[in-house]
Amino acid sequence: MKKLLAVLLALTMLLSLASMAETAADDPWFGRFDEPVTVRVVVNGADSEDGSWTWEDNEWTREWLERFNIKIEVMWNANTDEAYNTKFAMAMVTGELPDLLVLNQKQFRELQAAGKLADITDYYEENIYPYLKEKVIEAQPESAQAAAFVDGRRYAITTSGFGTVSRSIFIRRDYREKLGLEIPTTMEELIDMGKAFVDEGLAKYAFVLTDKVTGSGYTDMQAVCNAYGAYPGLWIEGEDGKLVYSPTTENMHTVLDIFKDLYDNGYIQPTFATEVSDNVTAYIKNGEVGILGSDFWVATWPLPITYEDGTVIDWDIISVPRSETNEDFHVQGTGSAASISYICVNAECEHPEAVLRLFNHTCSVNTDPELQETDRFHTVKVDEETSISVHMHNPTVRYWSVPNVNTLTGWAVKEALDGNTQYLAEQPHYQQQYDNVQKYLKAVEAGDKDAIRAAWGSNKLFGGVGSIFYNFYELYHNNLFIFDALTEKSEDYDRLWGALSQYENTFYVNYICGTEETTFEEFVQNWMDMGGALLTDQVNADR
Amino acid sequence: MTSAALRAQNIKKHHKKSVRTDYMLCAMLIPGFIYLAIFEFAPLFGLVIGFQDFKLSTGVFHSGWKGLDNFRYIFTMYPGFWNIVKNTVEIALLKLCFGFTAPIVVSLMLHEVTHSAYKRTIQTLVYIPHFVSWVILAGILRSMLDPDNGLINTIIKLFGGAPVYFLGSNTTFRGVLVVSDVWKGFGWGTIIYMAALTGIDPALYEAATIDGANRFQRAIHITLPGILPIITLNLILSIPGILNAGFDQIFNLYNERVYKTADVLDTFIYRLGILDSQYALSTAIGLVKSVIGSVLLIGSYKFAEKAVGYKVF
Repeated sequence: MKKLLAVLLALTMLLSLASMAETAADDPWFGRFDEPVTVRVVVNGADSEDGSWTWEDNEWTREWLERFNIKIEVMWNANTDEAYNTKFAMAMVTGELPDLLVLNQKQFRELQAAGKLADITDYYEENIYPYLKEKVIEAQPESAQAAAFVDGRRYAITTSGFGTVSRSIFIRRDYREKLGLEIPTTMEELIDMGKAFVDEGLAKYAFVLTDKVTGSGYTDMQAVCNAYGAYPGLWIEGEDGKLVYSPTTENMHTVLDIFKDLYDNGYIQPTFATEVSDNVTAYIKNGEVGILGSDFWVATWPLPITYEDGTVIDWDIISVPRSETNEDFHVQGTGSAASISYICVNAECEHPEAVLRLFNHTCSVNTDPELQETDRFHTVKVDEETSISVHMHNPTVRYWSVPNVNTLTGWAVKEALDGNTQYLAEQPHYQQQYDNVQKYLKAVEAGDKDAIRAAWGSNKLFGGVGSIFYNFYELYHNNLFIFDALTEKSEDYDRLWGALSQYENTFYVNYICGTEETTFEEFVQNWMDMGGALLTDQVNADR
Repeated sequence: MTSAALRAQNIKKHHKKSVRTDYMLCAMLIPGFIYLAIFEFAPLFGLVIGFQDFKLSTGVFHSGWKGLDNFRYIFTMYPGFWNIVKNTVEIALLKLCFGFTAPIVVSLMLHEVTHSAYKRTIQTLVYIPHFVSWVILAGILRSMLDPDNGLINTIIKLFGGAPVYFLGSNTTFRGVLVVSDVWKGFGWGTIIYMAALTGIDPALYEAATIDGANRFQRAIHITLPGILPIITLNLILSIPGILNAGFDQIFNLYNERVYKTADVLDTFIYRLGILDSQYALSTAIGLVKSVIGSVLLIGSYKFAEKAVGYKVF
């Protein structure tokens, strides 16, 4: 009997081993290569300062080598965006391109036309695993998906950063309560509140700006613009159905006049044109500003570092309020053709399927609820106090979250806080953020100031009603996001846009400061003469 | 045969003989010529980018031809372009005007210092700013000129004045450029004049002293004429740089508020070419700048030859 059992066991083991080998070898999504395969990448980021990991040797690369027999070779990495762009431009000139390419539209168009990009149509069908394909890539906005094809063939996988660039309004609660003011419901009330903070000696400025008035994300004009129906950087549909560049409309003129008035009366820093993000951080730390119109990440830094007697200074967070005069209110989202990333494979890459396998793995362990290993590949806990963000070490620099994941997390966590926890299992990200919010709530209950500070940002991001991403969810649910109506940029757009944008930003700065002799109408005319008219004609060619 | 023709024939013979006898020395020039050919002349071919619809991926050889379209766009469609040209020339002239005279005045003053140790100390101190990069100096200037907490404005406020936004005002920004440029460069500029001053015959000073000339009269009538040829030469040779208004300095100090008076060709080329990857447009402007610079260079060398007998070739 024992012999029989032993033989059966051995047979079973052999069969399962054979089946595993077959699965691994034939698995087009997660199979292991028989021969070592090298994937060459370039990375915009530095290796760790303490030497604990490098882009070539970390949790991801070791796993890929062991599991897939794929070795990562970092051709070069850069410490700054500027250095990366310069190096990448050189790589394009010399043709020394990596196997995995992350491109903007201009680069994509150039390299595709030059035959430098692999046609991945068939590889995509065979080698991208279903979850990544259906829930992530093909759930992108249609305009982003369409951009991946040239003459019906797929040369890229495209992603857009929907749901991360909208501004929120942050208001210092202690200042507001000191003056007995309610949460503002219109932009006019918010501006008056900012002025009141200054007039009553609580803050030095009502709003703060930096030299990048339209696009710093830290604190810029975008929130006020949106309230009045102006959308920096976006093409929108006009009343006649034709596309128009939003900053050239009268709504922008209104916003500029508001900022000019604030500036003239000392409610904005007189030196903002020469100030950078460090100055803004100093204003926040010193309590010199009580209102911010900023990106979501401000909740994780620097707001939690502002505290008194160990207690974090609390900020109320609201969606951008509409202006009393704006009947057609929307908040700027993204998803424009201009912001699409094109993830491509070098035409000379011997194993495009190896590149796609890395995407499968990255997505499966971080995003797929069935296959997730977030405790290994997202946030690795070292001890009670510290954890490492391993997902930031991925040399493909891709995360592959489902589109709009943060906004949906805002909804799922809110539902869970209301007792409907069944949605948390749909995405690892939902559960992670719910756990973080719970940490905050427990810290509050225990009165642990340090723990409160540590989890304060997570609660502001995802902590139910009044959190940033639940606010975004409400905007999303009520169709109040507006996106760039321009889905594809022409070659003329690539050529002219830089000069037009520079002119636009310079005009805004000088208009607000009162150092601009050109009127808004003349600015629009100049903008048109510089090539804006040509682009307007082109984007409306099919309308 | 005229004497000039005879002289030319003699020079030619002399050159031929020199090459024959000193061929080893001539051969030593070859690496230099190769270096020049590869690193100085071959890249000039890249100027063709200015006439192309240049794309990085297709390179110089396969990018489409656009003729003068890039030049036309810059000259006729870019509204601020001519203001940028005007800024470039004005800033360069201002710097030339003040930056040129300061070293002469300081040299004359130093020349009158008789205490050797004191003179050398001063010389060393005034050289120092030359070795500090504009990146560092810009940081120092930003702190010093800050309207709220800067040293200069603190002093102004101390005397009851209103703070001045030096780096954000179109009326003061150029002043900052000129003063900081002079401060940084005048010490280094004195070297050439101090060297020229050592060539003046001391007997002239002795004779003038015996004749009753005071220090000021000696400086005006002996020292200044003594270095006048080098002053003239320096001035003439500065003219080709009239379109170089000082990229490093302006780039590190300017901002959008003062573009109207501070944006120069080099900063414009930087923004267009490096930040916006418009290589064709930036090459076109660079080419125009180089052509004007070359014309000024040849013209000033010719003028230098006529005015002070300085011959480059």
